[in-house]
Amino acid sequence: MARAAVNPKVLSTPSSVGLPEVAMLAEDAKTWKQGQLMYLTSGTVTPVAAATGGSAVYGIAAEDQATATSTSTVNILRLVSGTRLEMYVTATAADAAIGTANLGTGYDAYTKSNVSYIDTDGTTGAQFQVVRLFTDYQAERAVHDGNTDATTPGICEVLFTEA
Amino acid sequence: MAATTLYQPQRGIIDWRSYGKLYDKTFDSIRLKKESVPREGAQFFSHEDTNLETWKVGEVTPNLDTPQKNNDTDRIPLMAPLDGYSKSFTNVQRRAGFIVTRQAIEAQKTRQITAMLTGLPNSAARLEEIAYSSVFNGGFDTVTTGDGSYLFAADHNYEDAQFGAWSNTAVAGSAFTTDSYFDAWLSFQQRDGSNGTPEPRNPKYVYYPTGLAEDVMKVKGSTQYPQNSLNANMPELINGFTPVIGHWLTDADAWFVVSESEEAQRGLIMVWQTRPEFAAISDSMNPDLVMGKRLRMSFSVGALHGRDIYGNSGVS
Repeated sequence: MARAAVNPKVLSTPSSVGLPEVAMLAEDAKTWKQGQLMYLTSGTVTPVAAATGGSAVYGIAAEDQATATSTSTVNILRLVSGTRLEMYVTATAADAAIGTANLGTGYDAYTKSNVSYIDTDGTTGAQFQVVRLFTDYQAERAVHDGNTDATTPGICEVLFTEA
Repeated sequence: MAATTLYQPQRGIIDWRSYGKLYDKTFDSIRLKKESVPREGAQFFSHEDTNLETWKVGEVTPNLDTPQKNNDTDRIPLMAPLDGYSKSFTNVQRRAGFIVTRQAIEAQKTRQITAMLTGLPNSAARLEEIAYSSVFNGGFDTVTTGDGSYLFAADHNYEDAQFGAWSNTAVAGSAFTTDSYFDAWLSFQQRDGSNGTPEPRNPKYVYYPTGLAEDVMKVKGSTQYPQNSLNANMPELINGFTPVIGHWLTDADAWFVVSESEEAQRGLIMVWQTRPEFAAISDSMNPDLVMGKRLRMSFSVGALHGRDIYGNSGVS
């Protein structure tokens, strides 16, 4: 079964009721989709892009920003240390596999086509530490879907640490 | 026209904003999509309950050697049962859950919350079916039996090694026809016991992926040979099976035949340490967590032997 990447799934949070939701000022002239990773710049939130912000992630967009507007307030799910996410894997622009060699290593975020990945080419901030592989925690599902660790884009569970 | 992609919030919690998106779009009504779980695999498996994390099962065979020529003056030759193969099953625990916050209740997301209550048991049922089907899906190249060979293989060893190997698969994959089904029937009829003497089975179920339904029905539904221009009558042994369609089978070509053996004799085993059970999630430090459910299940699935099953990898 073909595998297409989606935005991070929150598997567990340190709090029993999930991630804190905060209203933040949006950076001007930016749009995004809910579920994308966001970072802070000069007091405003803006989506993690291909080359920027991937090493200082702040939260997850709780709603779409369909129109690029200034001075608008948007809701962000603030990622806190200890949150576990299921994320897809890219190496810069190309979908990438994930394997046991990646376990324990921290990576940065990367966004393409409104989907946020971990980037195995980026280790500057290393906020997303790979802790489990999909073929480990969903072994039967991987077989059923015809996927292995070599399937691209890879899927893994990551542990988030605040910048 | 291309379909629109939905970018889910995927936050793992039903709070007041999750699903709130639907209301933001000012629907007048919300339809619950039908999401049922086809239950198919359990009938082929023997189900064992255990409180052990690792469960080991062994085989014993009462098949003694044939009596020898022996006079009264000779000592009686003694015989012992053959050792059988064994297999260990290591259970793996799975958990999942959902929680609902007070704000979700206040925002009257009750219909969505109700949907979640059926969603969690269905999630467990899906994993169970995927586990059952994984034994078939991986039977040619992943799942091994107690003798160390793949579940569907031509090199299963007899317990008494002097008799060599036996097969429960087709040498080359083939489509489902009267001919290939007869090969399967023959394989069951020609099965031998642990020391190479006849131990026949009767096939009962044909388990096949959806794409083979027409082929199977041609054989099952016909009283005459579909491929035979002389319209020869087909014997009962060819179409006397029970067809079972396998929606969870991932190979579009492979098909399987299961014998009529009793459940306890079957080599396919589902070992349950914890059948799906649910518990309430609460947090005394946070009164805004109104309710939640935790699912826990622990099991393993596998094959001790493949004597009561036949696999044909099919043709694409």
